[in-house]
Amino acid sequence: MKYLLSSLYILISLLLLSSCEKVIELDLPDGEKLIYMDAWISDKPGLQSIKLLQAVNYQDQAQPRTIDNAAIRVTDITEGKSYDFVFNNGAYIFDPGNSQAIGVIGHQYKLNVTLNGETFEATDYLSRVTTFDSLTLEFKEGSGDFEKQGFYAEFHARDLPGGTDYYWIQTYRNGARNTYLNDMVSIDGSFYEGISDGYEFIPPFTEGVTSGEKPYQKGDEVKVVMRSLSKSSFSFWEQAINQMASGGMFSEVLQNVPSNIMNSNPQGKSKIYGWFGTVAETSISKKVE
Amino acid sequence: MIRQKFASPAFLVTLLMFCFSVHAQQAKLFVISGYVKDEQTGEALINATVSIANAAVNVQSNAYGFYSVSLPGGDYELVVSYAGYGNFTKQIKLSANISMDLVLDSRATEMQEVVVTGEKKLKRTNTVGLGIQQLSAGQIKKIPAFMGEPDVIKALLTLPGITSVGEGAAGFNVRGGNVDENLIIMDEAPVFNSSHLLGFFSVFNPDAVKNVTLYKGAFPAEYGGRTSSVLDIRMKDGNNQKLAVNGGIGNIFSRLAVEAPIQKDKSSFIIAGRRSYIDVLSKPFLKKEDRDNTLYFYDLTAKANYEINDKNTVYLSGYLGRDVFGVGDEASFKWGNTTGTLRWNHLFTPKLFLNTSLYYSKYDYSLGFSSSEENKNESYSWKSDIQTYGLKPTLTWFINNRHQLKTGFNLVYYNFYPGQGISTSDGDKSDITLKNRYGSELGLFVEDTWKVSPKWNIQAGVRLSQYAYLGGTTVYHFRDTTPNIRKPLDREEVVKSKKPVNNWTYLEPRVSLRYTVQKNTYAKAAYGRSTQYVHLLSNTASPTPVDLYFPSTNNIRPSVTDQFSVGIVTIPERLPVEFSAEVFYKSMHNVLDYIDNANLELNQLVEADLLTGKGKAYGVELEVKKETGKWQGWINYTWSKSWRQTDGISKNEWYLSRYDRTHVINVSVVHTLTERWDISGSFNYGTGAPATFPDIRFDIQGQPIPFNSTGKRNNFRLPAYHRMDISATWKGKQTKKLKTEWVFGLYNVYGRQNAYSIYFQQNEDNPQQKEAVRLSIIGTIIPSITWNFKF
Repeated sequence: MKYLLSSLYILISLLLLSSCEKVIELDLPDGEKLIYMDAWISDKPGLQSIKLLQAVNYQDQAQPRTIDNAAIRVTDITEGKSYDFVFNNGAYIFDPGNSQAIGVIGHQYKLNVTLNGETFEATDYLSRVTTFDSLTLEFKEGSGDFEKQGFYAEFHARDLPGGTDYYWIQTYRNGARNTYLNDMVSIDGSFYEGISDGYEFIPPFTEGVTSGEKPYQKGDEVKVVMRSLSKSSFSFWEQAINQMASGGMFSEVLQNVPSNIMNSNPQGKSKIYGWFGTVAETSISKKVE
Repeated sequence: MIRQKFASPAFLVTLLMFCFSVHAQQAKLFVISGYVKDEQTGEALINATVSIANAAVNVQSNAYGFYSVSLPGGDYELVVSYAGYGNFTKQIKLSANISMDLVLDSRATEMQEVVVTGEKKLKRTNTVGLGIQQLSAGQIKKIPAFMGEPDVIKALLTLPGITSVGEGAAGFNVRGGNVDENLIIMDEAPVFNSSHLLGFFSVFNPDAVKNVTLYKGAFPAEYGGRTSSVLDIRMKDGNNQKLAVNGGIGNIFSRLAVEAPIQKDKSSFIIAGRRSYIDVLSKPFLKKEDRDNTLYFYDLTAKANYEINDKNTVYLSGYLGRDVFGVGDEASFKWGNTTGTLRWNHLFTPKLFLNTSLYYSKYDYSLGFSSSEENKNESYSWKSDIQTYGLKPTLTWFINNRHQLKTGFNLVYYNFYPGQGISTSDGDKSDITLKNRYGSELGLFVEDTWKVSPKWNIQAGVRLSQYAYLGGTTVYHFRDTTPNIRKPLDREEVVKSKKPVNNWTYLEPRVSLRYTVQKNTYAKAAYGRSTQYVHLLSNTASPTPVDLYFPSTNNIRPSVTDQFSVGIVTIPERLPVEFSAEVFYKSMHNVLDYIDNANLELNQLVEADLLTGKGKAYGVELEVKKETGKWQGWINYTWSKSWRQTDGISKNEWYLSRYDRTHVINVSVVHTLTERWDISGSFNYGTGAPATFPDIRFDIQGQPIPFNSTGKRNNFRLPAYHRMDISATWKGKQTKKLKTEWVFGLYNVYGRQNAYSIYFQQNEDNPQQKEAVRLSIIGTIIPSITWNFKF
């Protein structure tokens, strides 16, 4: 629905030929440099890494500062197995070996962090993910700023039947995030729970892997990654994406994203922001020729 | 919390004593009564002043043009005055009741209509209440307008205390209140979405509007159900003398209105329509792919009236409007209002006037996506509506020249259909339907307008308001939790019958006082309480056409507002201007708010995501107005504050609401250059709207998530808003048969790019760089030309 509202707004601006967006200088005050985690465990075999970071000012070009004095452990609650992550070159890592994966679909995971004498924990469930059927490319002549000339990619996938599935879709161009696009989240291939179980993904998603402002060109490699999410991790990304794509007439007011990392001591004063999530991952890629 | 659910019974008793201790026991009185009408069109004139010069009596015609004066037998000179018309004077020998229609001739001053007279009928100097603003269709047409199209709501935005969150934003905010706190009624029927094309135009066709009255303060007791304001729009009756056609052709849309007698002097009708065609006009300029897109709106306003005899008149009026938007055949989106009103005026005696209105109003929208390729058929659709049915009999008793009593009731039934989503894939179909919700509202009111003494006037009323959230649905019970966390569902209760699930009763006093300090200088004070039982669920920058109206339920308490105001108005002896100053203080309870990441779309358990809090707003409104002469216009300045406090939001502290515009200045000027040329200009300045900006970011999975480390809402402001518009009207042929005019307009003369919002993103080509982007809905100067005709 956001898609429809924003295209409505684009069309109105097009017709009135008057709306404009302009990058402005804005001096934001220094914010409190909160500590947060970027902790995502996947079902992919090989090295897994978790970051514990200190935020920087919004417009600061610097990378966030890493915090290296924490002890981090991930536990597969379902299997009763623990993995101690060690700090190495900016991140906490664990390598189960090339053919081994920490993440297993259907398992429950727990994150434990000990920092400066306080302990924190978070849990998540690793949900199943569907597979892509295909990724197709179509050349378009272009029709203005919102649809330039180039190749338009579209993926095809079907939601897994039975149960509600939450998906997180990311797009890469030549190995790097396609910065012209926002990540997308979907429930059963559409927007809402309980209406599209087992269906094909609908167009706002399937077509959402190309930006009309910068479509793909010959030689580009397009890659679409789909990750499964638990319901609570879905809600985190839904909100995060809303905050990052908050332009337009119908933008929601800025609300802070939640955190699932809790201080084990309810009276504890320190807080860690960010999110711990577990995902199953699938991807598809194609070279534009 | 509501400190006092019922006002003291002593107050009520006193009030009733006011009302019924009718003291007309002197000499035998006779009644002169009837309607004040326009001679050329037969249109009833609202708020015309009927004066009996040698008896020092002044009364005003009511919303149907009816007046009634009681006097002892004798010889009198009766004078009727109405801005824009020549005075009507008649000598009367009174020895029995007289029924007499007073017919005014507008031709007497027609040539100078624009020049000499203002058309504002209800003046601050002749009302008891505070915070009343009135605009006539003529005035609305003179203010420079966006795309050259006069607009009711855009005109209101030039008045003190009325603001909007930005260009193109739907609705308006009165004295720091939400958009949904305005009761907008068109011939008594509520209008739930007052905007076309999001918020660029309002749904009211100025060709079919007779009169617009906005009550910002203690509104009369007959109105209820909203807490901020009442916008009472009366449609034109239609010419009962001869056929008249008027219309206009502009860049955005065309208008046409036809009015004619059905039976001369007795009945008439008006049909007015508009259709936008910017999508058609711009097609040649758009690229091929965009040409499949549609975007237009239309509306149709119609009214008929029939005078059965001199005691009975019936009116039937209706409105139908629709906005249609489509992206090729992939997506479609439609929304609009439908209203209908049947009214019956009945005169029991020359002193007892009854109007009974029966109305219906519906707002609905639907949207759908579909894609069909390679034999696959995918579609997804969603629809939702809100319907209301209402009955409102109002009895006006012109007891004597000192007391006028109004009493009646208003019964409203609400049917909320929050939404149904249907999805199909390869012939499989599944749907999700949100449970209907039902509510009923009953308001009993009585109000006396009392001339206590030559110096003191009182308008004292009370409204007993009762609301029930009805069964016939599933009632959800939630457990309490920390505020700003989704409330967990405790249990579902299926209530089969439509008996009340929850009941609330409020006593709403409405009192206004006026003291005549000296001739043409009045001091006023008012207090009013009002309650609201329907809420628009919206947490975006501007309300969208798909926002839901939702009733007060067992989980959402009705909101209640108390407002106090004092003011002074004066017309200095030698100056043709009116000065006024008003101060207000508003205290709001159970104002709706939302938890972070609230899910307001297609959510069965939406109540779990709602919070209620407190609000307060206060301010000063100053205005100077000149409504006669070659130069007319007004300048107003408002200083005001609007605050909210909700547990769980902004660290539980008071924060500025999005509607806080601290300083607002409006200037509107109309100048008559020659008989053929009129020019007008307007300027608007407002402090930037409060907004929440991030100060730090979390880089998570390569995504820069903005975060506000202070946790405080609306910690910044957008840059100040200001804009100047000018327009010029050139009158073409002005024959008896045909009158034409050209209106040339420039909107946003100096091309200011006012910020609608500021958002934050990473630069697409250099993701290291994070930037602030200012969105301006109107980024340039917008010229317009409109041709209007009348025959």
